[in-house]
Amino acid sequence: MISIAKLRQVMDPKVVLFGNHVGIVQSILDFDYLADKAKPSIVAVVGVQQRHLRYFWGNKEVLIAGYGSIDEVSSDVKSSISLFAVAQSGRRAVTACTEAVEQLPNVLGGMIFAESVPERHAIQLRKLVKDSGRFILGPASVGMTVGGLFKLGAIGGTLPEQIALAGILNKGSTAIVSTSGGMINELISIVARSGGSVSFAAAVGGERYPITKPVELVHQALQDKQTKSIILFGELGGTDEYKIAKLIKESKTTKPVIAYIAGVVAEKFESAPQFGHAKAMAQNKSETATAKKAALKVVGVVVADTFAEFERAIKNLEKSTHKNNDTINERAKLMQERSASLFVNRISEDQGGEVKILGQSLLQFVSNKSFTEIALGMFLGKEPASRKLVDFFDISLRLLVDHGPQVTGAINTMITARAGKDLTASLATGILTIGPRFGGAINQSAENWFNAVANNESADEFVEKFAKNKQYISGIGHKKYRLDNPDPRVETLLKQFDNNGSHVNFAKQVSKITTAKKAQLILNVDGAIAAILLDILKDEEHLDNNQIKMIIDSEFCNAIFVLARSVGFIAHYMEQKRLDEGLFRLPDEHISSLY
Amino acid sequence: MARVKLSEYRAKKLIFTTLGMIYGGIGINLSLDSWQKQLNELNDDTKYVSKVDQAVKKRNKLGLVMVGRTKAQAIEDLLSFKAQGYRYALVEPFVTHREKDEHYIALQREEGGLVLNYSKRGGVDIENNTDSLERATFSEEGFEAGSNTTSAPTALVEKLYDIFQNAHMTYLEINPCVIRGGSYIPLDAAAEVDGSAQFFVKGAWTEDDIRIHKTAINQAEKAVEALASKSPASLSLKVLNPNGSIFLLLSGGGASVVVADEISNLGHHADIANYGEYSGNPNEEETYLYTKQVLKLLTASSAPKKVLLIAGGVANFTDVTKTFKGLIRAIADVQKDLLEQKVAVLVRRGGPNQQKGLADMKHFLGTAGIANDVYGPDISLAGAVVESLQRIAK
Repeated sequence: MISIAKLRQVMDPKVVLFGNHVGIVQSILDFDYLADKAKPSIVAVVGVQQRHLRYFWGNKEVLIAGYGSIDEVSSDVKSSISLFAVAQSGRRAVTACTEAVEQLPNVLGGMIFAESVPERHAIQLRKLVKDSGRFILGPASVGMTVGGLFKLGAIGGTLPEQIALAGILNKGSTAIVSTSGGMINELISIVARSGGSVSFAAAVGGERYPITKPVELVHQALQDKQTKSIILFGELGGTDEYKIAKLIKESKTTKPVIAYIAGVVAEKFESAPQFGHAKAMAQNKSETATAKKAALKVVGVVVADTFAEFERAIKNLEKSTHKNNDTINERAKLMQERSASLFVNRISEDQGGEVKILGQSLLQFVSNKSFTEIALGMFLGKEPASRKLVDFFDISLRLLVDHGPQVTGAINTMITARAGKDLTASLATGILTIGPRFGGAINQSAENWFNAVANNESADEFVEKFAKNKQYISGIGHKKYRLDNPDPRVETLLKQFDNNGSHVNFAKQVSKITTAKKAQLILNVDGAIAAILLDILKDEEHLDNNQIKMIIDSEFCNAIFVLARSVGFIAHYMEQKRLDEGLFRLPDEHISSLY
Repeated sequence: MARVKLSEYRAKKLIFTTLGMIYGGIGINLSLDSWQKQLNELNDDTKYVSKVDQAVKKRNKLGLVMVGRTKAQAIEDLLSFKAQGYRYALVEPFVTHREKDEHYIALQREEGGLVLNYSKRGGVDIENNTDSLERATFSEEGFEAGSNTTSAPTALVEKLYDIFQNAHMTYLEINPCVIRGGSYIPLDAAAEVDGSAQFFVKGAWTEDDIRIHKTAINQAEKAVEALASKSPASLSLKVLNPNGSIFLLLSGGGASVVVADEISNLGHHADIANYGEYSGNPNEEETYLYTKQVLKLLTASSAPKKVLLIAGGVANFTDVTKTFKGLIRAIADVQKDLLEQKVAVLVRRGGPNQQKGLADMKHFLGTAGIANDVYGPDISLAGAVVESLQRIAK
């Protein structure tokens, strides 16, 4: 059940969205920005293919994390979330809400924006919130806002200027409860124009079975110390107003309650059309607007007979508690001018001649770092947390710097150099050979070890899978080295970095099985680098699986090889130039003609 | 989407199947050329019931249910239904039974669960026999035999409960239902389903099974219905008085009722020509087509003084500039007529991009020479209504 007091206890509530609704996400970010929050309140958007979604933070751009499903969100982020909003279609509502309640340990509640949630599902969700002690507004709710604290949904407007003018950035004293999403904005706007602002405002949604009932929100408004007065917008149909009347009577409240019940017009017609929302149809006399208005009047609610009267009553209520804030309006106005950039970049920037790398000025960033440390930080997009990663990156670079002139990339570089081409062309032809068969095995191997360990595969299953598909296992096997003549690079690496981590152990188990079949099928340098790196990322850098996967997908391992081996290729180019060797032609005996 | 009526044909097919019987009725779409062919399978020596299957209330009293008909008579009935403008009908075998076996049984979804109403005195006159109704409530979460506090056969109720839940029904009335020993035969059935649940009923019914009560639907209403069926936006139109003087172009479920209320409060409900809304961020073209229909009604009205009130609250999403472009195009199409008929246009609207939208509208109406007032949220909805009424009073 909803509790405003609990919501107020969360100083800076974090939000997850199910579905990427651009208007809703941006308007929540605009609220956060104008409310001077340090960071966007939305920490995740799930149900999207992108890992990052570009939005505006003021006039600049910001990346919001995207996830395919809630399962992929790290437990830290999950624990930080207090609120959720479902912006997907009505059919996804039950799944999304259930996931939110089951997987977010600290979530207080959320809202469903979609119409067309089946009635049975709405009833089922009502049970879910009752059993779990959470709340859900909707279906078909535009959400809720607690003045100055958060805005969940489109409520209060979707453009910065609207949000500024709505006065919801202030802590106000008027609570608004409305069945209609459009009218709640109208009412927020009337309160703001009258010089007041909302303590909280919530849209119940115009569906037949709202999950949070109007009476529960009125109850909160009566309890909430910051709320000094209550505005209620109801419609014909249903019997909620009788429950509200009973509650108000029993509460003996001194807070003024002002109400408007729409739909008296329906009583003027013999067979009235559907006026307004799905729920807005009186089944019998007690559900008419007139009857419900009378019930509220009896308990002392100021029930307006016309909307003009309603507006006057609201105006009288507000004693100009807040002044229209020109600075905020001006900031909001400036935000309308923003436009999306062609690129976003978190590595470096150059603004007015000052170059920054990873947020630090260039000179500061490079002052006490080795080239290795600089490269590592820039490859990761952030400075490493552990010394171990720096050491490992460094030794990997050193070990991979060259492996003799016979290897594919070196040959290409030398041939190109001897054809009279320049450094960049020669280096490029060498680098262009790096891929699945030459140097690229580290990345493939990292992917293999990572997936197998993440899925708890056994080494036997793993080897069997590759054997069945007649595929080589990247990171296993060498042309030259064998069990009785091991690769000294692998030995060096393991000696220094084997910490009994899950990936190295797995790689060793695999190698045990494969070498039993054939002595050459040993763990090679690619496989060793991959396994050690994964262990360090997991155990030393404390990254979760999503973050590690992102590093693998960004071809971090290929980057190590390309960076290191470029040194070798450049050296081979320079050597060929120094020797001034002529154009290379393959001796005839090295080509077998099959004709 | 709200609750919608299911065809009796589909409802019965579902009920018969759940009761383990085969339904012998034929659902007929009279607007198809081939409908008579469907009746070839009827026998010359069997008696039938023919009836309109279009969510019409009080069918018996209107003569839209014909009982004990031969094949030839049934065809005549259908031709007569067709001549009266009905589109959907049903022909099913006539079941001979004793009147005292006619029972009434109904289920409906309410907040507290599924409510069963049962009476041993079924038939057409249940309204006059409400004292005989027995009532029981069943949990949403699964059928419990113990909840059946009525004398309705629990086996029957359980079957109906299942189909009610699986087909996402919201209302199911079988009256009469012939109950004789352990056999149950529904004679007439009316069902309402949750229109939002189509995806979840796994083909139990589709949109082809939804029936709308046939009334002399206005051309403009028909056009808007067609438009709405192809749009994610919310578009509706109902003609209240073709010769009314207040024509409404309203946005938003709540604000539209407020405007209608306010007109009614000031004693002018009879002057309201139409009701409806365009909202949920319709695009420019949809707004244009919608507005055209309202303006067609407006120019055809014989009222001496007419006003077009374009009103709405402060929208959440609906782009005011975009929708107003559609409105302006539609008004421009009939601007000559509006000038001749001295129609005034009054605007009160807020929402995304309101400034430009309102300015565009003001500029257009001014240039066209149409009497107008254009306001943003700085004047109230109620104020806009008062001003519109003054326009037709002058």
